[in-house]
Amino acid sequence: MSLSAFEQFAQTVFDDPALLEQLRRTDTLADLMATVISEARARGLDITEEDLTTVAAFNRRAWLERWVYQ
Amino acid sequence: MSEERYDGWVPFRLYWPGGPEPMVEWCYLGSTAFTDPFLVSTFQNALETPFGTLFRRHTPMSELRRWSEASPGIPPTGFIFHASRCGSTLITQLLAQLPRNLVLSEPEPVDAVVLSQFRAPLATDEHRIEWLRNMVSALGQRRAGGERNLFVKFEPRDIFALPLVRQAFPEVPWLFLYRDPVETLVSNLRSPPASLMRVIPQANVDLRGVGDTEEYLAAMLGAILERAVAAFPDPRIMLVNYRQLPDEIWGSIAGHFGISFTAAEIAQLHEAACFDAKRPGQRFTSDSEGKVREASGRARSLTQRWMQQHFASLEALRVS
Repeated sequence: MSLSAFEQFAQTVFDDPALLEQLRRTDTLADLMATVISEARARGLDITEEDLTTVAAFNRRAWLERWVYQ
Repeated sequence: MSEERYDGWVPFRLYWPGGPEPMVEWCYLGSTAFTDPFLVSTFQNALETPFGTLFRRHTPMSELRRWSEASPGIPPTGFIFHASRCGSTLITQLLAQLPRNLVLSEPEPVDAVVLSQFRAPLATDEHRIEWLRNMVSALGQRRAGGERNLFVKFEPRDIFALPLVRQAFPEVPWLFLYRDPVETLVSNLRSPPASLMRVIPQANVDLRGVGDTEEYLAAMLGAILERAVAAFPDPRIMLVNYRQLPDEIWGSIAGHFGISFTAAEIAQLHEAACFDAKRPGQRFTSDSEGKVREASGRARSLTQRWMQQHFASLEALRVS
C-alpha cells in the first residue's frame, strides 16, 4: 500500500477540480473505490481495495469519536 | 507549503495531536447551502457520501490564517448566544431563508476553538483569538456566491468563552436569547443536550451537592443566564425574550444587526415561522403551557434556586 499512495492520489484530487467532480458524482462507495483504484493506477500509484477500506473505517471512527478529542 | 486552495472545502473537526496547535479536518461541500437547522447535519450528510467517506483534508490550524488572507470570507454581521431551547433555531432558520444570509448554526469547530483551554492549556488567548477569527473566516466563505451577511449562532455553553469572542470580534453586534426558566428547564430535561452534559471547566460552577441530571442542568442553565447578566455593560449586546419572537426578528433584531427586510420578505418569514424550526415541514405549535404544566415541584424548586434570579436580572436589563 499504501496509505502514502492514497495520500499522493488524494493530493492529486485536491489539485484537480475536474477529477474531484468526477469522483464526487460516484453513487456508491464500491464504485468510488473501483474508480479510485483505476485512476490511481493510471497515475502510477498502487492502491488496493483494502487500503480504501482502511481509510473509510479510520475516517468514520474519527468522526464518531470527535468529542473525545476536541 | 504551496499556495493550496480550499474552495468548496469546509473545516468540520479539530483534533489535538500534541502541542498547543490543533489540526483541522476539512470536508468537501462544494456550494451546498447551510440551511439545515444545525451545521453538524450538513457535515454529517457530506461525510456519509462516498466521496466524503474517503476524501478529507488535514491541515495545521496555521494554514487557516493563510487561507483567511487569500480568501477572507464574509465578515460577521451578528452573533447569537442563547440559553438553550428558547427560539434561537427559529431565528437562524428564518435568516437562512434569504439567499443573502449565510448562517452558521452551532458550528462545532468554533465551539472547539473557544473552549479549547482544556485541550490546549499552553495556547494563549492571543492564539485562540486568531484561531477563532480564522475559523469563522474559513466557515464564512460564500456558498452560492451572493451572500452578504454572516451570522453565527453559538452553542449555549460557548457563552462561557464570551470574553474571548468579544475580543476577537469587538465590533460585531450580538444578542442573547432566553426564555422563562421553567419552560427552559423542562425542555432541556426532555432531551438533555449532549454539549451541556459534558464537563465545562470554564463554567466555573460550584457543583458540590449536585447529585442528579435535573439539578446539574438547572445549575448549568443558571450559569449561562448569569454570564449574560455579567456581560453588561456591553454596547453591542441585545437581550431577547422568547416571547418577543418571531416579530422582533424583522423588528428590533434586524435593526440591531444593521439589516432590513422588504415587506415581501417579512411575509415570507411570517409564513416560514409557522413551521417547526427544528423539524422542517412540520407546523409549529407552541408548547409553552405544556412545559409549565409538565414541570414537577422539584423542577420548579431547582429553577428558583439556580435560574430565577438571573432571569429576573435579564428581564430588568432588557426593559431598562
